[in-house]
Amino acid sequence: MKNMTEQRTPRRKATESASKIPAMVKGTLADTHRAKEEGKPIAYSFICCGYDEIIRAMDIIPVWTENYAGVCAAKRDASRFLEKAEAGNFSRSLCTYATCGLGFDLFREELGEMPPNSPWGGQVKPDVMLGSGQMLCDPRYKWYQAAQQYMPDVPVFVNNAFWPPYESDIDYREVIDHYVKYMTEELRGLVNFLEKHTGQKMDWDRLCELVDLTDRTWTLIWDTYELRKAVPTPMDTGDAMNTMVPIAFMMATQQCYDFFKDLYDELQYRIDNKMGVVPEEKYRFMWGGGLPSWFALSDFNYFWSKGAVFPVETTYRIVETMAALDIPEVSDPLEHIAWRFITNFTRWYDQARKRPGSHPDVERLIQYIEDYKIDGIVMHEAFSCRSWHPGLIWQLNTLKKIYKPIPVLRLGQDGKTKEHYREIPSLVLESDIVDISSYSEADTHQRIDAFIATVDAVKNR
Amino acid sequence: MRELYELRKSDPPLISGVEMTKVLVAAMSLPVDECNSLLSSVIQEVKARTNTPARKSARIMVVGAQVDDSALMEIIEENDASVVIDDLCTGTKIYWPDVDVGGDPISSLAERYLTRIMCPRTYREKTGTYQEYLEERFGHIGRFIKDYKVDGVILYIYKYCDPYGFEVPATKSYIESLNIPVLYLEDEYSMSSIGRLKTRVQAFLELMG
Repeated sequence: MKNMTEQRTPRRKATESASKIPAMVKGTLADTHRAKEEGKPIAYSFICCGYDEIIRAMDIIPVWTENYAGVCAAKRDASRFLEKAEAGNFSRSLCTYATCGLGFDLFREELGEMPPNSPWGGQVKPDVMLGSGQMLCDPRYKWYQAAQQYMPDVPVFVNNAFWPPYESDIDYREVIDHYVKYMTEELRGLVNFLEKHTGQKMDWDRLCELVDLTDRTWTLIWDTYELRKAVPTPMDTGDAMNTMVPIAFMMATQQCYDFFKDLYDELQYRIDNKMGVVPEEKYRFMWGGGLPSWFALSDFNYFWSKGAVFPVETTYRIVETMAALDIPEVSDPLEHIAWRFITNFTRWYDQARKRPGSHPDVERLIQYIEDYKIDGIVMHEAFSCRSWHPGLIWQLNTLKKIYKPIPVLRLGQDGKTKEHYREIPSLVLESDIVDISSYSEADTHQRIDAFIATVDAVKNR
Repeated sequence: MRELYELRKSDPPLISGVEMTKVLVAAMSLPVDECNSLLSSVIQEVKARTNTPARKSARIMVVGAQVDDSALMEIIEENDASVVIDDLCTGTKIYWPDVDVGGDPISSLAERYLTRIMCPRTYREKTGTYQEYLEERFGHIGRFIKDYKVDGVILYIYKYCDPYGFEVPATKSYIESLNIPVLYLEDEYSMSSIGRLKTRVQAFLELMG
């Protein structure tokens, strides 16, 4: 473990804004410790559950448990917590965000204090835990239930947030009202739960303000990231794995809005002055899905060393410009949150129905390939995440079938050359989000080298 | 099916775990009328048995998901133990909960699938103390242990089934709180590690004495 820590090299960032993120995360964690001392209610929380504005409006302090596992991984200090969870009979094959968090909780509760030298001070014990039932991730409704084994008196609320599944022959508008109504009532149930278990009261005027702030923040983030279409791109996915922090963990705060205002200005400045991520941008890749290996973010620097940059990614691009979402005028802020959450998923459905054999997730890849002038797709398959990662291979296979944008000349049997079209080259990296034992830097770099050689051959054909 | 399970309460049970697995898989695969007809004849045959399976030194319960391969039961029963009851998706999990009759049939079916079937994929809200919560989620296992005079439990969990995986510590500690030994085995659905399982089952049964 010590050796791995010593080998860790911090990732270089392209933007000033991304460089500020580690201090922001550290500051946020310090805030949770301070809040605990002051007796403010603490909630274990998950990102992308639609409850950001609710907890902020009720002055409940979130502890983002997935984030903390990512911090442990990035600090290369997750192994002792994973091993603790395994000793507690949690399988090594379960989500390693969850097993890192559960191992930490088990350790802290056994000791009655923070485990020694916990990364950035550790994860404080919560007053409530807010799970989520989604079509995305099983651990999100089982993790906190399992954590009650060590914190039996901490109540759990599971906030169900479902959206209409995609059907190529059904217009989602036929059923969307049911989903919105259901999610709205779930959010109302969450407010009641929080009022009951934390003693905090919902400030409905403040909630309306934060809903409005969040709408504006979503659009600002979208506009900021759209600047990355520029050639050379002023910022790539390596930095976006830092700037996801305000998106995922600080939504519905002025701090998040201000961060993106600064980032927008910085990217515009870089574009105006033709400041790319690398001196000579040779290849433009898309990070087409999968959470990154938090302990190996410096691999993005390895791509840079080859002249490869990532102007766009699907991971953590979890917001849309409000103009793209079909949200009706409603007076209930909870209903507005539900509309925004659900239409963010249905946003690609119409486009997918127009292309035979397509799917919303694949349609999104195609749109980004064209908008960002992409030469190749890189994905990461994390062994411990069944919820998202196995579907990535299916997305790539579907994309290959329906989308062949690269013209190539081939010699036919008649001796004449004919124009054919081929698919975008792709690379699937294999490792994990937290468990470093699944990772080999040498193998990863070899695969990157081979992929770049392929892309180079296609580009220069 | 519950009538057939009843015939496993005796010591020795009138039907072995291996035979029972085969009946359960056949029942799952047949149209309901054919299944019921088969079950009637199996019950009749088992009740009339004069040459019952030999009495063994331990009565075992298997807890897990969709176990439709009898290989695990074979390992247990080749090692001087009888599988007498289960909490499996192929077994008691689906044959114990009834559908309410008299009301809206669709609602009654949904109610049965979503709340009455004791599957980890259904999140159950905690209302009382944590001990009461465990009783609500796993109390049926405790009742089976008592009714079928179970000596030990094998918790057989498929790798990559997260809803089950997250429940292992709670399930294990609940059963152990009843002073019943538990062997937790993790395996793939393909049963690729059957050799390793054999060693662990043997060791568990030897320790139980």
